[in-house]
Amino acid sequence: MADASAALAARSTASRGTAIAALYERHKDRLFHVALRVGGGRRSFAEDVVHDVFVSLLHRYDRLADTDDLGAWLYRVAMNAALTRLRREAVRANPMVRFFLGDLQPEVPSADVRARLDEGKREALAALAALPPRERVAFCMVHLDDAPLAHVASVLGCSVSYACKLAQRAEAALVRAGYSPGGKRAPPADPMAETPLHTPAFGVRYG
Amino acid sequence: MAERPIVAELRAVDAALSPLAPSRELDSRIDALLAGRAPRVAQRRVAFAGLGVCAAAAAVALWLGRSEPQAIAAAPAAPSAIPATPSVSPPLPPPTSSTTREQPTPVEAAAPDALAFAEGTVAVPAPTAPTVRSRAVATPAAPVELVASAEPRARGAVDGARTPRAALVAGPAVGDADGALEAALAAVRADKARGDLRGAVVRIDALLASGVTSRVELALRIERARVLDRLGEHAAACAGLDGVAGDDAHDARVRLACP
Repeated sequence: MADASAALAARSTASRGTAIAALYERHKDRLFHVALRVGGGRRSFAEDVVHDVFVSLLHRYDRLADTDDLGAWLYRVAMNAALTRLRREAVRANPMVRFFLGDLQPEVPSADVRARLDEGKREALAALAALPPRERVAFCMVHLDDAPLAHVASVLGCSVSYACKLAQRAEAALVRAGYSPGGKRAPPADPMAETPLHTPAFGVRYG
Repeated sequence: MAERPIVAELRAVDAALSPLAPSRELDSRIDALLAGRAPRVAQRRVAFAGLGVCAAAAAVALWLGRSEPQAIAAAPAAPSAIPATPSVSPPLPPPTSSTTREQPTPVEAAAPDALAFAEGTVAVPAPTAPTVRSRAVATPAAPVELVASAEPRARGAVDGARTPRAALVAGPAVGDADGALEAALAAVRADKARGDLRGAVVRIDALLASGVTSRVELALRIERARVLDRLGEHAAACAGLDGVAGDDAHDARVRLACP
């Protein structure tokens, strides 16, 4: 609701750039943290994702019909941008591509991130970073951000059932790595009728 | 080993990282984005597009530069003897890559079919398949007539009458006769255009007296007969065509109703 009022006020009183700047100030920390987690603690990755999100917003701002749900929209765009970058990195990690384009920078957390994490947290972040891109995004959205499976499916470009399957695969991989799926919520009866992202359950964490 | 709840661990990671904020560099990038400057992604795309265009242009340029004249079709199939020292020769044009003859390789020089000619000639070995293309148009000691009448030709044009061998076989190049004929006829037509028919006849007579090739002479005689016919001197016109052989002369006689 605060997003809606802020966006409406910005649109009505200021230019488009000012409105986007206000949205950036409001959402940059949340998007940065989401991308930082998906990117395995890499600050450069997270900042690139946030940059991509606002490039998308700048291009599509005039076509956005409903600015009430802009927080959820920005979140989905951020996850989509993160997935795109992770896939690109997966391609770059291919030995043949690496032969032609050179080695990638290793996927290690930034120094300030490492400094804030103890050994157990670092291992957990590394276990998450070891997942394939789609599974990683699905796991983060489903288990950590409580996103509806319909939104996960739209970000991943697959069906709801396949999104659920990807999350389960990620969970199984983490179990094989020695973790238990703690904090797992009960699956909803109807995935399409789940709580939307802008409800307080989601908004409390990132609102 | 006790299993650790991964979701709880990752939520703890989130809590530990929550004080972190994006750097000022991201703020400046967003400011630049909002200020209307091209985003970094777009700049990269433009750069890649530019590279693609340059690569395509280079490929086209290489492809165009690779193509050679197709005069191979008119290249001589058999060796020919060419005078090594032409009597009088105007300065040759500077050799180009397509007109410079390659030095025979030792293999070619030792070839059994390299023919030696009489004194004053150079031996041109029989062209082998790989060397035919490089020799397509060219011999340095081209005959005088050919060099004097050389006209710029379109690249790749096939003109059998202009090859050295054709020039040797057919005699003087056709371009000479054409040029002289055109010049003479242009002067005559200029006289006719001015209404100076008599002057045209005098000019034709002067040209005929100066000595021209048989082909030019035939054309001038026919033109002279036409002018005389327009002057009303029908008998003189027919008399001028008497004894002139050839289909053109016959047609002219028929057109003038000569007996």
